[in-house]
Amino acid sequence: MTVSEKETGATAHTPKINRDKLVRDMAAIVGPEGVLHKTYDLKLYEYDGSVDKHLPEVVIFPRSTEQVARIVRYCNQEQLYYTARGAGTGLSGGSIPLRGGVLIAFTRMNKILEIDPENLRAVVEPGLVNLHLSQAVAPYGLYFVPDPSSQKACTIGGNVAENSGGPHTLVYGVTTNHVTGLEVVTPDGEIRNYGGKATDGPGYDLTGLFVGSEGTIGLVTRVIVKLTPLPPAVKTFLAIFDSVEKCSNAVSGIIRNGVIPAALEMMDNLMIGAVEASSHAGYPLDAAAVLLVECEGLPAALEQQAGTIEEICRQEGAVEFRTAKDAAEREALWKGRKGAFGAVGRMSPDYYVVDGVVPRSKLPQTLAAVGAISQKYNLRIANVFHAGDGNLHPLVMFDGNKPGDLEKAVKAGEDIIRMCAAEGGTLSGEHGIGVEKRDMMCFIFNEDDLAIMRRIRQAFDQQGLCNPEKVIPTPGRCGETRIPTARKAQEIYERADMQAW
Amino acid sequence: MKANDTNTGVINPENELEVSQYLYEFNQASLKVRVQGGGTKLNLGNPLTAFDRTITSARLTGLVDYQPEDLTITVQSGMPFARLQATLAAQGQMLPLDPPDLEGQTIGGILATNRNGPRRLLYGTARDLLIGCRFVLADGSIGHSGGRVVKNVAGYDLHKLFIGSYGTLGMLTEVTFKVVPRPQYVGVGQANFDSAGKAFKAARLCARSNLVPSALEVVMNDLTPDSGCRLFFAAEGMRVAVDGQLDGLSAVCREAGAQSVKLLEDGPAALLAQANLESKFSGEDVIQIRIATILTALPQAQASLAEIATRLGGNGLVYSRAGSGLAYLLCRAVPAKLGDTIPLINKARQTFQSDGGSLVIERAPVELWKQVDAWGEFGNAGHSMQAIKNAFDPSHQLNPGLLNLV
Repeated sequence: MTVSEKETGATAHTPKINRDKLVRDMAAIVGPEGVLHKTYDLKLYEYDGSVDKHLPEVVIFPRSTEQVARIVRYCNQEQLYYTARGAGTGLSGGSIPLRGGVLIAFTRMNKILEIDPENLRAVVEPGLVNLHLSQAVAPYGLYFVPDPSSQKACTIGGNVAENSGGPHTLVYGVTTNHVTGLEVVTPDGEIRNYGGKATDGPGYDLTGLFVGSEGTIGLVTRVIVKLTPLPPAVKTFLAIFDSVEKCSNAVSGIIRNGVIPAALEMMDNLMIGAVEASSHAGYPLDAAAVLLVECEGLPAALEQQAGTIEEICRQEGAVEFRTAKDAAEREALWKGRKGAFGAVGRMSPDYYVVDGVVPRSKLPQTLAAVGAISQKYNLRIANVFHAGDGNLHPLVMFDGNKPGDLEKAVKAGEDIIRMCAAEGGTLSGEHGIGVEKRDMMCFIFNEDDLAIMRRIRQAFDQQGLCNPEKVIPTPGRCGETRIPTARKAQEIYERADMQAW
Repeated sequence: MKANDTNTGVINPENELEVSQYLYEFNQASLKVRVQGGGTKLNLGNPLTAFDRTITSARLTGLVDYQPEDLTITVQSGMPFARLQATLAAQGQMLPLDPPDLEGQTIGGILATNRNGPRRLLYGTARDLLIGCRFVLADGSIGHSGGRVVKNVAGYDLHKLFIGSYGTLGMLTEVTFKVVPRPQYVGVGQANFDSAGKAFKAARLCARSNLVPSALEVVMNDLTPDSGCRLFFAAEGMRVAVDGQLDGLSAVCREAGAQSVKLLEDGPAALLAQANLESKFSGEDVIQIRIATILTALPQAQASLAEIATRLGGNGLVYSRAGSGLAYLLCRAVPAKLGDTIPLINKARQTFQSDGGSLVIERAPVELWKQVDAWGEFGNAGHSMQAIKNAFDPSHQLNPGLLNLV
């Protein structure tokens, strides 16, 4: 058996597990209250925000790095697969234990260990909720930039695994640009420190490699993040368009002009309808598309920047340009935007969130192509996306109870991703590859590229036990359409504000 | 440009496939290979041990793809940095990296050595700007990571591994960057302080303010422990914004006890001069040391470097990228005094290794390399780095001896 076969689980299998012994041994490491093993409990941990699912043998909740290291060493000794999980908000199945085994949930390692405002750093445990960090450092006039829409629930560890973005990463970058150091447990069971509060360490950028590696080369147990001063003033406005094309032309115009705002988000009519039905944020129901724009900076400069952006939008045919009057209006607009995925859950029994990226200048034809795909499969597709980055999130609506509907939705999603790749874009801007897009990797990577990625994976995970079957496809299996087990969108919707533990 | 020179063993492949074929041949023949771009930074880091061939990017100089409206550019790794910037400037854009200006240096060489300058405070470093690359590994395998879009999480970020790898993992053949519009205006101010402590305090307040400085540089007036310091602060963007930022930054400096604060006539020139300080020190006798640490430890880092400079004979300069946690020493060493300095260097290396900090000897007279390593210790991360090296260059053929991962 070659290592690559084993690594992707093609022939390897977890030996017959003595569940009672496993539970006893795990309890010895983390205490009996830190182990879940009843099927009823495990059911809550078999899925994340994606459409796949698989039951773990056991869920374990470590409280310290040392415990994580002991769990990994135990898994090595017993040849058990293990997979890390934060809040389970991931959208590509990264935390689903596809081959069972041990699911290591980090929700109890959720402390802020240190806030160091003078050095613009914080040291946190991976289970800390993203928003809680920004809230904790706000009194110092600081914040943590990456703000994925799930920030009320998702964890920093999950952000590190997926290299998460968010609407406000246009100027300041995504998670990898805001992490300066990590403490990790590598698959050999050792605790290692990469980077730190200081930057520019000699040698290879292990922090940079680990961020976005989707939990496949080790488990992050501590994260050192950059903190950024809060902007002096913020201005949020809404540009309203009577055609999607005019709206996407305005996006290109803004970027080309060089007045890059802090956030530049676009929603189409179907999405606006869903958001308004769910949150009454104040979006115009009759608009074909809207641009949500946010600028930051000194008040005088803000006026000028906003003026330029308004001018560009009007030139491109905006019918109206509204400025949020106060913080309440601004928050309502953002609440609507960030709740967009959940809002669709009220419109359709099921939906499939697609995450793709195209070069920004290709937005107009890309949106037209999404429209054509919607017609081809006769499925409604709502569009909401980070327009400034060219990162689109079409939401394909379907009914899992209708025979053939799920297959159609998955195929529509794949068509969209294929189109993004063909336009010179990529498979995922922020949701990750996980299992969802594993077999689409060959749209942009050839077998040689993938073989080199496998070398890295095997350099860290020699036994092939760490988060199996994710990211890198089995040779020869790439390009096959995967039809996952469907779940009700309602489950995701209901979980949006739920604490995982 | 000749393709090959069999006398010197220098190979200048004309495309990626040739790079692959040559590296495959060298791998089969177990030859050690020096990987180089323009050859302007061969004096950085540990000297190479014996090698049999040199492979260069001298003929990989093409523009591959430039979409100004997407703010991305793809070039071959051997493109001269100056030409890359000129190409972008023609469209009113720039790659916001401001490394020391070296005639003929390539973009690949800048990435391999992770060079940057004062404006990294605003724009970040290569790891924030490089969004994809193509490369050839020691056995001739061709691969790529990332892509040509600014947001991308597909696959491992292998391009980050090549930044600062000094050509020890493979040879970059093509690189893609996100670029930015050239700022409408760049303004620089200078504040004078009677102590390093006050200058750094001011710099920290600027860094923590919401005034978004694009550079914060502290320069010691002399090498004495109670030397005064100059703080250069910069802001860039729309004129109206920059004026407001510079006003704010000036006020911060005054409150922190500046003796005088003034705005400089030619901001861009002042920043360029700061970026080029190390070019003022050239020759075999130059020692160049960089300490990376937390902002609050910078005064101590500068003091350590000044002490080393004094021990070396006193012909040197100490300065800091005060918002980025980096302190630098540039010094002409009196050869007889080199030996005396080693205990001081080792002591400083120990002092600053906490919090992920490091002391790197970037340039040094030949005698020094026999006694100290350029990088210092890698701690418990060394094992992981070794694993990566073994995955990409298992026979340690590329740039042997340059990066010892112990």
